[in-house]
Amino acid sequence: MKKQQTEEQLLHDIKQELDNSCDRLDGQILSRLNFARHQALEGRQTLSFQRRYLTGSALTACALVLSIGLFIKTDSPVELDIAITELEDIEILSADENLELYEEIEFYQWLSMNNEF
Amino acid sequence: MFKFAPVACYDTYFSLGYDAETNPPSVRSNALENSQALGKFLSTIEKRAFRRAQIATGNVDDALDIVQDAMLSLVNKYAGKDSQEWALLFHSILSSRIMDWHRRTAVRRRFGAWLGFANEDQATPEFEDVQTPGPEQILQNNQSGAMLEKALQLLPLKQQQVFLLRAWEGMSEKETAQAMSCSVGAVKSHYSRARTFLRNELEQERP
Repeated sequence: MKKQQTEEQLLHDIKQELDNSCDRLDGQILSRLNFARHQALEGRQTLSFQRRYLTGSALTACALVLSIGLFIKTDSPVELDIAITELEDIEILSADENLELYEEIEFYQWLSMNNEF
Repeated sequence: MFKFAPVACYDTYFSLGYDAETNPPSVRSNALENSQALGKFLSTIEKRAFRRAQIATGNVDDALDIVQDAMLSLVNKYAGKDSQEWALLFHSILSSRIMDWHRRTAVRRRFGAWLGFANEDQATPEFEDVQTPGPEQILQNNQSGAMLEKALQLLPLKQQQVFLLRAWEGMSEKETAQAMSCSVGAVKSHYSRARTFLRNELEQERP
């Protein structure tokens, strides 16, 4: 019984001390908490220095990897030619009238030859 | 009736997706009241939330980041929920953020140790060297806060957070289980162990 009372007293004292610690928070922390609340309510988030630093580093690293990738890519002309050829094929395939022209190319050749005569 | 309110409330009102042109005045008024209520709710819990995060991280800046993340998440995702549910939702988000912080810190420390430049500043929080006699009086004098904080920080994270939610926030076992994403049995176990540990730690200071 006494042990239980002691335990309850201890818990009460801990709770009291934690409440007091909130009252002892200094003005700077309270101000930053207030600012954080307003930022959250506005739906924005201010990045701390550490986060800004990490985000900046990550972006720099991505840009570096991308640059290296592009540099390596431009060093291979064969692949570039293939890419251009593929692009031309896509252009031909995507245009209906061009396909018609190619399908009946022999007819148009014959027609042009007949007109000349 | 549309009333004037602080700028932050208007911003929240629009950021919550309420459109002045498409919603009738009654809806707009409700939304504004909701954002004001949300602001009031956050202002009432922010100090305790900060202390919870600070005890868990031992770092003011990280604690502030965690609290702001939790606030932002509550505003963005759960502002439309019943205000009675906000407290539990907020504590759930905060617990989750604290756990994430610990996981990230553990990984960072592992990599730091592997690369040979462990961050000494974040590895162990510093405490005041306090030597105060009398366990019953410990919690009644000016230095008791540091001693209690030291004891709380020595607890394993889950035990620490369960203890704070149960003993300080006054949450039930079921609510604590929900906030900590664990079973009621685990809450009982964590809480009991935390109490025993704290009692022993604080009694060690008895002369």
